[in-house]
Amino acid sequence: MVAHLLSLKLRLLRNGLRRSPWQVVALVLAGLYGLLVVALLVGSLVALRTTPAQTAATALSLGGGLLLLGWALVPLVAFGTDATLDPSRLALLPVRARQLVPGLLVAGVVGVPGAVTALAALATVVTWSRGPLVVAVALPAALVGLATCVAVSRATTTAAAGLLRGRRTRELGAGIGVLVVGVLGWVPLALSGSGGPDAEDLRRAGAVVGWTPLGWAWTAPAEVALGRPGAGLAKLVLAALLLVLVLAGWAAALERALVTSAGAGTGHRATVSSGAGLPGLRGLPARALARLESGPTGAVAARALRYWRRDPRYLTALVALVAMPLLVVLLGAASVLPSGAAALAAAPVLGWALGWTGHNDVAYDGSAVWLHVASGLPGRADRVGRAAALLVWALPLLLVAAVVAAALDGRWWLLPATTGTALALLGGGVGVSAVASAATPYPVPEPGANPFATPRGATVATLLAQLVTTVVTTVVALPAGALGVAALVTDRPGLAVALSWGCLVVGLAIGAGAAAGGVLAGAGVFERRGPQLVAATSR
Amino acid sequence: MSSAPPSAPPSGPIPGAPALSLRGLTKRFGATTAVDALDLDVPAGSFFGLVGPNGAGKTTTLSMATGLLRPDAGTVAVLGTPLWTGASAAVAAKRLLGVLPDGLRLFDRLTGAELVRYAGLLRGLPRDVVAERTVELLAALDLTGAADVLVVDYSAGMTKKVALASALVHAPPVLVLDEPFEAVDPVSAAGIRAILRGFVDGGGTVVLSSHGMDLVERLCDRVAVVASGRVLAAGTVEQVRAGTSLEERFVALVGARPADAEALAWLRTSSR
Repeated sequence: MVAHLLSLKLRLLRNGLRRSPWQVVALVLAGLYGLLVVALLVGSLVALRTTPAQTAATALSLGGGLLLLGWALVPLVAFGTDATLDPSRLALLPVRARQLVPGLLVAGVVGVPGAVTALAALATVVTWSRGPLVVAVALPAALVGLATCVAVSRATTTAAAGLLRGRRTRELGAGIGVLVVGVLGWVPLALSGSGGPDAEDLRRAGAVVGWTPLGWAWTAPAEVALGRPGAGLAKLVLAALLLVLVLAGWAAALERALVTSAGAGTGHRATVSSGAGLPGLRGLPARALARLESGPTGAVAARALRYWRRDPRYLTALVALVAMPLLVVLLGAASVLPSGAAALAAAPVLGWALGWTGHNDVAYDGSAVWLHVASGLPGRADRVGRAAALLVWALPLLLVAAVVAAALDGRWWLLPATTGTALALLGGGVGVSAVASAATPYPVPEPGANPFATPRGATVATLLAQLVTTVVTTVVALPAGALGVAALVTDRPGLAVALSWGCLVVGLAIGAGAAAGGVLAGAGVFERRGPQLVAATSR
Repeated sequence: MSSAPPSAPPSGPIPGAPALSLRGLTKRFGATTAVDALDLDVPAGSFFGLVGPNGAGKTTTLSMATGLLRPDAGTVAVLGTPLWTGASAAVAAKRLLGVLPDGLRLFDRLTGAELVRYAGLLRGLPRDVVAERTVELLAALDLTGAADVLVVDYSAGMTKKVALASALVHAPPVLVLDEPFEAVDPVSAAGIRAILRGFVDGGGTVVLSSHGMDLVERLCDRVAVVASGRVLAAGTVEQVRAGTSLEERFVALVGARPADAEALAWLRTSSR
């Protein structure tokens, strides 16, 4: 069974590579990145061998704990997890979960993250090659740690996939996960604002983590090296018990997954409720949307607005966008960031993010975009409709953010500058998006699909498209931004006011010009590439 | 488009022109040729069935015939209007087509009623006309009760029906339907058949692909058998079936291997 699953995994990998050259490029890039990480990790771990045992213990406890936590949580929310051996696909085979677990465990090490973790875990044995007893503990501890990492990631994803069965719960779960990670992303910033931890803090944190399940395996050899063999053995036993527990939990979740097939819960017939997104957002908006539907352009805009509140992928982005300036303000209020600077950045950052959201809009339609192509919809109606659906709420949001930011900051004469920069970034983003979403759609997860699966081979195209759209938007908005910065840094008040208003004028011109130009250019691209868009989105 | 010659393609249906005229249509995917210099004429006013084994190129052909897939070579004309020779002609040709593709998503975060309305508005119909037709279409397809349910929560058969409604809403003269009866229950299928029959009786043209020989034989007056991207036989149902049943003729044309008595012997329960 182990050999079967391993060869299945390798064959899936190989066939995936045969399907598209981009997959090969993606794997090579991921491999190079992995090699870099391995070189850094193994180098550090080998270097730790010559440091005092206490330093090595702290580093391994914190690093190892973070690694295990990452394996447990990241696959839940990162849309980049590998679902090649999705257990629900094995549901039809007459096998028990217990038979599958060893094979899936070994197959889990195949792949870049698994290989990096394996090499790093083995390198910890080098770190602890400080005597026969330490090595004797370090080797099994490293293996147990590695196995726990892989097992825990499989256990959490299998269990979560089982819990999040119905369409609604699944979409809600994925959305919450994305938001949690988004918020967690700010934690390091918040910590660094409070002066940052010193060596003593780290040592204490390391000691604490070492006695939590996250650190048992990684600190067992450290205890022996520090002259506490009893504690070391105890941690090794605890780590082994943890592994057994995780494996048992995984097997139980797998057993459940094996008796519920992949499609369950997606095709069921809905009850009478219209199921149309957030309940609080019906009524008035629905009437306004109906009024908007007076022609092809209005219909596209109304459809896009409905998607902003019904498609979990848009909804997540929407909540994150609205929450972003609030976070900046909150962090400013908590004097984590210098409040003035943070508030001033809020509107431009928001403008940039809002404008950029549409850069892959066609891909979010999926192959449903065939309807636009088959209808002979004019490219301009498609582009204008999509842009309008964003601008109709993005512009007010941006203005409110700029005013609130100015109130927090107190330097009201900078309000035209932040508004101008934000408008340039928003308009630039809308224009770039109008072209990019028709020219280079890259694969995204489908709305109803397993949120833990990612379209294969998307990584490189994704990164390229995101990089290029970001750079072009920034360059387009640069003149306004330069005026805004000049208004901020000059020490002559009169000049600052003039520069600030100049920034608003230039920003308005750039924003409107870029949006209009991009929409016009994008309209042509959309019409020319209609069939290619259908092909690109229906793979 | 500004430099169009005097003999520019007319933007409306040409009287007497075939509803669908495919000439030398070719599509390759890598090393495989899905559609191989295919010629096909669908006379206006006919109920046309396109049959063929799995992988014959039916969906690829219909995608090229409806503007969803760019052919490597060949031409498509809808009622005499060329589809692949320029943007303005393409828009005119697409206006004549109602399309139900197979295997493509719908805007499934819209409710059934919203989706049909959306399809009509994209075609440039006035709002009140769209609203009226949507109600009638959903009623005719027995979807009134599910009009306010998101399409993502529809069953496979309901999804087919709402897609059919979206293809009909602008009252096109030519309907191209890829597997319209797949996953549709017998009662709904009867309803759809009646709608399509009435559509043809009213002067419209229906082209549909199907695996069901019985269905094609009963429903269609013309049929084309396609395999390996080529037309093996085309004409009226009587001509093609040549005295036998369409299914027998189809199997003979496509060249099924004779069942080998010895093969798969282990599959028989008695041999266990």
